[in-house]
Amino acid sequence: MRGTIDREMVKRLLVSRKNFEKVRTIAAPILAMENRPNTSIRDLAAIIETDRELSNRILKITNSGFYSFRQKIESVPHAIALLGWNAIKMITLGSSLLTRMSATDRRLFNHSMRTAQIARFLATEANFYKVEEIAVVGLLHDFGKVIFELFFPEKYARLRQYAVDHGLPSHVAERELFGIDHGELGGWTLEEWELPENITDSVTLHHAFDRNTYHARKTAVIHVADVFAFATDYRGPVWEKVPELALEALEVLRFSESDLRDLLIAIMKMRFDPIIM
Amino acid sequence: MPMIKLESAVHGDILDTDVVVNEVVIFEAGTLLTTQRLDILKTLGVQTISIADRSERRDVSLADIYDTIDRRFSYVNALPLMAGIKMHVKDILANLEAEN
Repeated sequence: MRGTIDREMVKRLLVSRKNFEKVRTIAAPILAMENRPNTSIRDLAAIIETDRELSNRILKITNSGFYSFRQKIESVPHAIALLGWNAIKMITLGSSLLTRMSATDRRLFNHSMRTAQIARFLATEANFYKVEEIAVVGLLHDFGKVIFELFFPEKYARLRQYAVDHGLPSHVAERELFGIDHGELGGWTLEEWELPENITDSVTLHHAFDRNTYHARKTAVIHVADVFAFATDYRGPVWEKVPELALEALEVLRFSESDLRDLLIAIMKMRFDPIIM
Repeated sequence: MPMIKLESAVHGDILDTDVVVNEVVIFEAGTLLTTQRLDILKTLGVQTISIADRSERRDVSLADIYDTIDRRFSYVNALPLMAGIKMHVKDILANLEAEN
């Protein structure tokens, strides 16, 4: 089964299949919008309102008992004003992208949620300015696995067995058999959808941390959050292997080995809440 | 399998079916319900859940969990930094279990 998967192959598959039409037309523009100055709630609402299903979902969640607003919310702009950008991004991603992940691989979905929440915590501890953006990258970091499953299902099923048989973390098995790992594959995909570079770089390099890259601090958060999510998931399956943590990622965030225990205590006491990220 | 009101569920019950809120799976079938998880379901407004027969309930010992942790860390066990993380995880877990 050894053989490489190259970027052109993935690009052709993304164009020829329409699996993620909503990501291209709805989620990617919303994520890209956050980096542009002078973006208003109206601009955001205009994109969301092009998709009736997404608009309905946002209103349904806003009016659910989870938020318990006193009055009924009937418009998307009102919902955005009340929930804020982050919640809207989460719901949009959930609607267009993570729903597929949830349906096909719930472990991956749960791991992505855990990683997002841990990434937000680490970003706060490391004094990041935009912690919510980091949470979104945490949600997306393993999106390459969804692409592997979707475009190369038989190869990926065999790869999983190979990883189990050899006791390897998934990214190591992927590199051995495909020549790339799910970080690179996810990064290519998100680049094709024109997501901002600070998101795509962190996704691409989350298993290949390099302190000399432009977005090294953001990538460091995702790298550490991913390892911690595996390390603290002590009821997870034994075949799923904890990947290696790069010490220099901790250093870039100005954490030391002596901080590890306190960070892990905080994470192991976290309530992992799949809706409010 | 019994469908019960959330308020009747107790720490140690195991979900028989997924709990889904707003089309998002909150906890999968097979999840052990802890006090924390029951609080989350309460917060989300979940009224009823389906749990596995309590006579089949099995408490997982700390030794079993340690074994799982050892096996999950097997790829990185030789690395001092990762061995340190594993040691912390086990120790913190033991303290949390003792607190509960």
